[in-house]
Amino acid sequence: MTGQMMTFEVCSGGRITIDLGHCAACESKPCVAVCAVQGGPLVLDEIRGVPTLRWSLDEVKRGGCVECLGCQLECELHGRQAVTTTLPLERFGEYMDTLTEPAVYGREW
Amino acid sequence: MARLLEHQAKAILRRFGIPTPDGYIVRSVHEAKDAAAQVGYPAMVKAQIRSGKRGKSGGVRAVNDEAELVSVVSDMMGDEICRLPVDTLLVEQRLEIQREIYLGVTADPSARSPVMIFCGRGGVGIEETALADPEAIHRLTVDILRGAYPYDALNLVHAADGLTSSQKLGIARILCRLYDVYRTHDCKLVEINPLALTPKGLIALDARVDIDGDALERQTDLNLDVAEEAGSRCPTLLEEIAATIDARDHRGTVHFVQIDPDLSYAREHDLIPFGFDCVGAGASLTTMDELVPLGFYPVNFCDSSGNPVGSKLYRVTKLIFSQPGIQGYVFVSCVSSQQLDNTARGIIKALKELYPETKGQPNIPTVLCFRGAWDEDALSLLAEHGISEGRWVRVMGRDATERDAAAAFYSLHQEWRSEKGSTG
Repeated sequence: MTGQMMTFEVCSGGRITIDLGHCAACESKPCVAVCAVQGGPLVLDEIRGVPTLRWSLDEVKRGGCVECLGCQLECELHGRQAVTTTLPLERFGEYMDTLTEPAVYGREW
Repeated sequence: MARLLEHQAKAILRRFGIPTPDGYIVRSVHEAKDAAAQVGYPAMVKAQIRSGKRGKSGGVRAVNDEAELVSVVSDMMGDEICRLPVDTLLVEQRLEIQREIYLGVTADPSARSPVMIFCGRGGVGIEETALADPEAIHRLTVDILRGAYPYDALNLVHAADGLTSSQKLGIARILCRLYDVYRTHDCKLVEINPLALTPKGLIALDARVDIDGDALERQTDLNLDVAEEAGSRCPTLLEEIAATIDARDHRGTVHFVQIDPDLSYAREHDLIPFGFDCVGAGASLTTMDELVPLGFYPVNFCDSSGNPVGSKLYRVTKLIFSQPGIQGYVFVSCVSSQQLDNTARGIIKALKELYPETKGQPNIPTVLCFRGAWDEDALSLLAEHGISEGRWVRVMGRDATERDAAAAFYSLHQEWRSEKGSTG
């Protein structure tokens, strides 16, 4: 955790970052609610009023985070858009560079 | 399953003390000349392709001098053998063969054990021997906890006529080493055919090593390109990328194979290519059975089952949509205990990232059919995130069959095509 940002790595490779600066003002804390349902690591820090981890970073990375992506998606809809999930795909950029025509999502029909 | 090329298989055998002919990998006439200078004439030139019919299809040829070598290498390089492109050859010393023997180790599902196989008559006719004279094939199941000992193998080899005790002992030792290869490298099949009796002793002239696809990630010392089995062709870059998804995370699986990587089959047969993902291979097959008669062709197979985490669905959905030329996307789950809300989250995150301007609503016909555990949650999430409202999206629930999903996709595609005109 650095300043207002909380970052933790996940088992599949990648990281989840929560901008806690937004969280104090968030009334519903949907990320904590969805994580509780999944049995994941996010809980509410009652003193600071922001999400925190109930396990060590190692435990979270070892599979404590079930990578349901609920924290990001719930925060997008019902929170303050404070969660960023970065899940890299090895060599995907290399593959995209080989394409001679654009992928469908980059195409005008 | 990963079937290694002959030279890769032989490299493994050598590490386990099984003799193979001297040989070099070459990719040009110039390299072939250098290799032949090292091994001497007569030499063998062998195409490095994954095919059991290689020998009978001109992929293994003997050369007696440099002129023949140049002719054969020029002929084979860049050509196709058994419909597989040849870009690598193995130039080996040619040995005098006195007798050919077959050795193999594979899994016996009925015994739930590895089985060692021996036949005193190896070579290209082993399949015919197995059919015509099954008693010539000798088998011994191995207790996997106890392992295989030379005297076990010797009991098997004793069945052969015309071998000296010393030769039988040598074969038994090689069979035990082959078993070690099988166990050490998580193989599904290891085979030496033929193991040749030569004036220089017993030598493995050809070898096959198939590694269990689910164990490839831990065979790091083999430095293989890991991917799902895709027949005899080499994995595509997209398949290699897909394989990294499971390699890093044991929670659930995403089995991804490109059926028509360059869309040539779909175009040649005037079929409409689409991206495809199913929960369960059975649902995948039945959905394909419904879609293909309607004029569609899945450019990929994907089975994202075993309750994969949302991040796996996110990654594989990105891969599926990155295939150029697809005119739609179909996702169908079988009815299972898989937590489909997580599956939906993965798809939603991918779509929102790929289509930021429409907040995740795709620009191609998309059918999402969720049936099973947490399916109603999945449908609610798709609605909440606005995906279900997409112009080209149809979301279906547990009442839908594979036929319904195919019919919905057909109808949606008709509408889409009519609006978009030529889809190129």
